[in-house]
Parts: sequence; structure tokens; C-alpha cells
Amino acid sequence: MGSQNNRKNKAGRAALGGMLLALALIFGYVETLLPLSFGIPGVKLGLANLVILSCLYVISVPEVLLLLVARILLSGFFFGNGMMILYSLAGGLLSFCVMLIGKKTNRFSMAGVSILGGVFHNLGQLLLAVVLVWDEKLFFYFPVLLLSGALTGALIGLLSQEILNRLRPVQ
Amino acid sequence: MKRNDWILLILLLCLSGLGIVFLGQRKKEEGTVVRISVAGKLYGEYSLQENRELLVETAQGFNKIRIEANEVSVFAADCPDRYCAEHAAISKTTEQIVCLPHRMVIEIIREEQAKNRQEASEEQVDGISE
Repeated sequence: MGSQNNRKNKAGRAALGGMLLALALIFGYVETLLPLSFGIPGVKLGLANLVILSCLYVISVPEVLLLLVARILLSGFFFGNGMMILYSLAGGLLSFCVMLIGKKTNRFSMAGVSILGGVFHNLGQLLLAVVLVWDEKLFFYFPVLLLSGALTGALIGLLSQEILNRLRPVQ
Repeated sequence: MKRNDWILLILLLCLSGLGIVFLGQRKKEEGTVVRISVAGKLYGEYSLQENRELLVETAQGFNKIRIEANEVSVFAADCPDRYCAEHAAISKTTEQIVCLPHRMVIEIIREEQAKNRQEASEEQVDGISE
């Protein structure tokens, strides 16, 4: 019950938010160390979404949104560049909105919500790519991104579920 | 996973599988011209039969492109992801190499699709020439 009280006061929430942000950043970094893309550009596990997705079920929606944007900006400045921030925002924000809607319908468990997130993350990035490169032939790549988004999304969703199941007794 | 999750997953897998099979049916043709575009604008068109190296400078950085043995590939670039440089050489009309950070696309087209061929002696920098 201690954490329940903490979450109500400002300092406790800020501390929790900072910790979760650090966690999301580390997961994003660990992801770059794992060669899981199979040489297919755009395919990745989405480990950072593990934190964002879990948080959707633990803290308030505005806090998750803040966490997401802060993570993208910070990891962009640390490891990437302006272009990478744009792509991350396009994927991250669209995925966040769709996951939120998916969760609100109460029709899916975390895995389903995460699958939606994975697919729309890839779609958001593809749409931005088509706009920036201005080549509609990029859409031919969509089926591959759909497949990878659904599979990695399912995996991340199952992992998040497992993490929350194990964290709940601690709270 | 709940029933709805499985339905969603299987639906998406079928859809992407169909898409991959369907797009795999596209006719692969041997092209003769390499077209390079940057940010949606034509940068240059080069013969696939003439071996040469090109330096494409974009607002975001450079890509070094090699045309050799009827294939084109990127052999060096200063983009952060290097997907373009890792991409295998291409030679067919359905193939393309994309460098998203530099907004650059390399594709193979047929002779009659070429609009503005660059001869081997010309350089790209001098813009429009007669």
C-alpha cells in the first residue's frame, strides 16, 4: 500500500516517472545491442514499448504520454539525430493513440493492445517515410512491416503481462 | 492471450501473408537505367551498364554509390542507420535501395522510362545542360 500513497503525492509521482523514464531509455539502448532485425530494415523488437505499455496499466494516461515523448526526445539526442526523433514520434504517437483506444474498448488483453501498438508504430513510420521520401512504392514494404509489427507486438504484450503479474504482489 | 487477441493476430498474419505473396508476383525485369531521387526530386539517371562511382550529396549527408557489373549498391554513407550500405546490390525493376535519413531512393528503371539521362562524362553539379 506504500506505493499507492506515493503515487498520490507529487514528489512520489515525479520519482516514479523519472525511474520509469530511465528504464525506458535503458530498454531502448539495450535494443540497439540486440541484433534482432534479421537484416530487414525497420524490423525491431520494440523493447522500449514494454515500459510504455506496462505503464498504460499502472499510471495515468497524461503521465504515459509525457514519458513517451521524453523518452523519444532524450534517446534521440543521446543516440540519434533529428530525423530519428521525427520517425520515433510518428511511430510512437500513432501507436500510443491506437493502444489507448484498443485498451479503452476492453476487448483485448495486453497482448492484443500491444499487437495494435506494434502494427501502428510501423504504419506511422512508413507514412512519414512516404511523405519525406515522396515515393509511394515504399508501401510495397507494408506487408513485411505488418507481419513484424504483429509478431513483435504479441511478444512484447506477453512479456508486459508477465511483468505486471509479477509486480502486482510487490505493490 | 484472450480470444480477441488471437483473432486480431491471425487476421493480421493472414493479411500480411497475402500481401507478401501478392507483391511477390510482380514481374521482375532487368532494367538498364539507375534512377536516384532525393526528397522526391530526380537527382540523376545513370546507365546500369557503365561501371562508375557516384557521390550523392543531400542536405542530410552523403551516399557513395557504385555501379558495377550491371548492379548498383551503396558502399559508403554517413547516415546513422547504414541500412542503405548494408543493402545487397540491386539490378531488377522491382528493387530499390532507400536511405530514409537522407531521403534518398535508388531504383532500377527500363530504358524508355528514363527522363534525363546523365552521360558518363557529365557531372551532376552543373545542373541543367543542353
